[in-house]
Amino acid sequence: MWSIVKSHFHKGKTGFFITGLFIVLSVLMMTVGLSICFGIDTLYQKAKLLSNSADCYGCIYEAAGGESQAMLENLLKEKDYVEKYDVQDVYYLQKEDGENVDKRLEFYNAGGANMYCDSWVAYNVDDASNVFRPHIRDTVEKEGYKFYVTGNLVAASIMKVGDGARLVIGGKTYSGYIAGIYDDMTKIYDTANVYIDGELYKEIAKLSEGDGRITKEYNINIRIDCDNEKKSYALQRQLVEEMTEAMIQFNVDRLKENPFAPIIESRFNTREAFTNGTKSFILLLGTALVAFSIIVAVIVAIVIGFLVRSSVLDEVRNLGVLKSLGYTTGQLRLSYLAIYGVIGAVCLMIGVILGIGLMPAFVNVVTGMARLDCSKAIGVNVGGVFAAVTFIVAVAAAVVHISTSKVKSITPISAMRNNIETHTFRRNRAPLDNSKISLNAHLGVKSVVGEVHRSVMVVAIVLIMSLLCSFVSVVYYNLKVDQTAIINMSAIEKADFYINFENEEKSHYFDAIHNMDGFEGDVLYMRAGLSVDDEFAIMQLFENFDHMRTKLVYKGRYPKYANEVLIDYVYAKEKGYQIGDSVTLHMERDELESDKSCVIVGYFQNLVDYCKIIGFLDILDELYDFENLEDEIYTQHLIYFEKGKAPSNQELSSMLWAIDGNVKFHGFKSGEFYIGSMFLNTVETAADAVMSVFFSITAIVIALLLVMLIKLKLLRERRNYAVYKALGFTSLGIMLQIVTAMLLLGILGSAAGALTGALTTSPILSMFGKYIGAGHFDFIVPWGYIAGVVLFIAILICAVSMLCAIPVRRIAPASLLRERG
Amino acid sequence: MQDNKDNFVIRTEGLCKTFSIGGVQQHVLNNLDMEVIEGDFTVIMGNSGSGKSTLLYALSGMDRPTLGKITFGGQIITDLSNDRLAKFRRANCGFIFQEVFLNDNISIMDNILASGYLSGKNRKLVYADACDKLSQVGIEKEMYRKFPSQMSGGELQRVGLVRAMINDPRVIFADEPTGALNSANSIAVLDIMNKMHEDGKSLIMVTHDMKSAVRGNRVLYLKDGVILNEINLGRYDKDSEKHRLELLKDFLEEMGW
Repeated sequence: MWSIVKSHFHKGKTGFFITGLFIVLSVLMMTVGLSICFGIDTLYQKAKLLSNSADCYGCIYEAAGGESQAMLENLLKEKDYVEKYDVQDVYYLQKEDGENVDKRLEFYNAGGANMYCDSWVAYNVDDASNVFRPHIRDTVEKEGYKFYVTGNLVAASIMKVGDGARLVIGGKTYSGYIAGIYDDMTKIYDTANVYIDGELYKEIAKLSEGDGRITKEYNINIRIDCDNEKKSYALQRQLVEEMTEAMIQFNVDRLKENPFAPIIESRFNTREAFTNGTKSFILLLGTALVAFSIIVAVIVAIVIGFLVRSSVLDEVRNLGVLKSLGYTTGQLRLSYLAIYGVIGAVCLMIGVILGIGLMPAFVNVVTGMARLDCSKAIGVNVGGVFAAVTFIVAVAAAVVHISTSKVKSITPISAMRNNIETHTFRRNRAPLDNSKISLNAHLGVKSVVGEVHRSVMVVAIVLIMSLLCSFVSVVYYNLKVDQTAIINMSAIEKADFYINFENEEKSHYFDAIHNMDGFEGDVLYMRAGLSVDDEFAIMQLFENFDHMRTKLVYKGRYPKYANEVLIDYVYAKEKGYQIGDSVTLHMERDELESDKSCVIVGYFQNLVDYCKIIGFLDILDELYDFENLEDEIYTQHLIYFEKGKAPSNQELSSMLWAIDGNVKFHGFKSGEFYIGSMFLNTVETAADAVMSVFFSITAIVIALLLVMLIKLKLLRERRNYAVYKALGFTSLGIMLQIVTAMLLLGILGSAAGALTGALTTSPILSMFGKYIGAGHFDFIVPWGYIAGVVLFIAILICAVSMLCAIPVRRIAPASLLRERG
Repeated sequence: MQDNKDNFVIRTEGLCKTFSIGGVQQHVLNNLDMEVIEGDFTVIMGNSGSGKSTLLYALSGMDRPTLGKITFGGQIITDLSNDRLAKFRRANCGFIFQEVFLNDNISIMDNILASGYLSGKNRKLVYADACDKLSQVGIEKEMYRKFPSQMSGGELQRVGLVRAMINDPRVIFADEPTGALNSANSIAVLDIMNKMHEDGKSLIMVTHDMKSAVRGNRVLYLKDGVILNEINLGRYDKDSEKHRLELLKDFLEEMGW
């Protein structure tokens, strides 16, 4: 039996080698993908420990050691789930008004580009007592003061480690450079938190005395004692809520004692925002890897099926002779299973070892999307490995079993005939007597229609790969090039500017904006927290929906009256709400509780978990005593300009500064920046990564397939090619026959695949969209990209086929024809 | 015809062919000089391993000699590149092989047309010519779309003859054309070859078979890589076959056959 196995192996080394590579690829991707999906919670837990991040933190605008700190520490000591906490002094620096750049932190690079932080918080990186001193990486050593920024700042701007940093205080310039990146999951999206070296920190501390624009504050970082991510987030939210309430109560008590006491402001945050912003995409990438590995497994199945079937047909004589010697059909089929068993075992082992070895690199790509460096956050998941191995083994065994079914029909008689298909009637497809095209091209076409099994296999594999590439291209285009569709699904309005002012008198600023050339509209807007069905939910409230740029409504219509709302589509499905139903909004604030019943008039999509309900600002009139709405610091104005007439950030801020030199912004962002910082920056990175991975794997799979097929073809048809050469065909002509055949199949497969991919991307995403907060995708199909996919595959096939067909040149007709039989 | 020594179609000068088998050099053709006269039916005989097929492949430009020069139709073909040689063969050479070597994956008509279209002639004319020639060798129209695996050995060799003729080559090279055929089929094939000869075609045939060899007008005997001797049998006619066989037998006995 073993000699039969060895005989199979010697006759099909190339095919086995390439099948093996596919198996390795499939196992590797499935191992990594499943490990990421299964280990996502562990990933966040480990990333927290590796970066030494807190679970939540608070920023209190009072110097450390004050009354509020004692109050908060007492609160924390009461919580048995608080593992540890730590308090650090920080300095909050605000740029002087007008043209004076004092206290502004500026980063600049050699190319002359720069970016500013007009108000920022300085942390002491050399504070050894800081229990939550972040993990510092990518450090460089240069002359000057050291500034450490978040990975997000580096990724989202053109600044990089080593670029210059400049700070002016009291006319003196403190020059330095970005000395490294700090990883902190609670502050990663906040570019205004900068760690600086101890020397500069002391200098700032000294200068803060008597300078009202440098405020000493404190930070409180808290670690929750909980390994379960879901429970941990619940505790984080609970703690942040309690600390917020405690600070409110603290201020109320102080005001009762002294009506003129200044309010001590505070803000609290958890690392859940980071998780929310990244989890969907990490899972998406993990799932994509698993999906790809399944596709490669399908390709493995097709290739094994083809090879085994071809092998059985080639070996009819030997198999017949073996049967005449007494071998049973089962034994002969087992010999094929054995050879693939040996190959499979070796390749599975290699795949798993590679998976373990490459896991850190994959995890780094994944966490890199989230701007963290956590290559060791998770390892290979044992369950994932087991699932991957079992899946591949089952697929390969089933295919080998099915493909060897022809062995049953081989008899010693058919062995004498040499071919079980010798006397079957075959059709002469694409006869040459009707040929109007080049002879070599026609012979290429004939080989396509003559070898149906091979052609079907090539078309099927190319179709699958091009379908994937097309799918990824559509997603890439909509995430990166034209983001209209994805913005429509984000529930975030893309106004030209989000703006408000801290000044008491601000109407003149708005008047100035309203008088600007091209001004189109000003819509008051806010986000508010409330309860729906006893669950906390964020609501977006608009003064009106007249100028909406984002097409928020997926189904239904915009609200017309104050008691009408839009509801998140997936949330509505979960809760069983439909258009026309009523939903009760519940609000608690300042010890007041109120309810309002609203009619759902439409659905919106909520890709980034931005809010659950959208309605008119008027809703608040009944829910909350909302007098003098515009004085509330959390309202914003959405400013709209006519198309192409919107000023730049710089132009708008300069204009406002020029009014009285006293403008104080509260929130001033372009809509583009706002949406970008919310989620698009992350998905853009993901899109790049996914696009490169998919196209690379496609190129590898197609190239390997062609190498295998053309090598096999040259082996089987060398005698025919020798005769062709004898008759006067040139080597190039025969190579063109091979390229034509492969190209034809490639174009057929890739065109069908690319078209199918383009047309099914949105429906497929819609099917799975609910997992990432969207129920209906309406992506734009970039036909140029789809044509690009077909072209990419065609060029790839041309190049690889031509290279693989080069050995045709070495076919010597005389020596081959001299061999008899 | 032999009288006109200048009317040669192929001439070799100092032709050598050496193979390296297991590191041992074997000189198959050894400084061989010969000429093939235009319009002759030249037969090459010799013992197994004497270099007959090697000489045939070298003369047809299918193989390159190790040393020496081959002039074919006034052109030195040993200097041509592989592609130029291929183009030269398609215009000047037709081949008949013992195992026919038709492509099993295409029909017999396509086998012929694949060779015929190489000439660049009008495809309709090539097709008509193929039909005509197939009819001459007794292959009926119903068989045109058949695959080689669906035909007998004799039929296949007749198809092979048509393929060899389709481009109207200057010389037809035949390597043991009857080696795999029964007596009746062999006669049919040889009759066709004689018809080609009568029509003025030059043929070079390698054979072991005396009955085949007598069909030629000139028989060369190859031994140790050189032409040891030759015999001129004159133009073939059926009535003189017995006499020709005797002459050839004597010649071969003299050569140590």
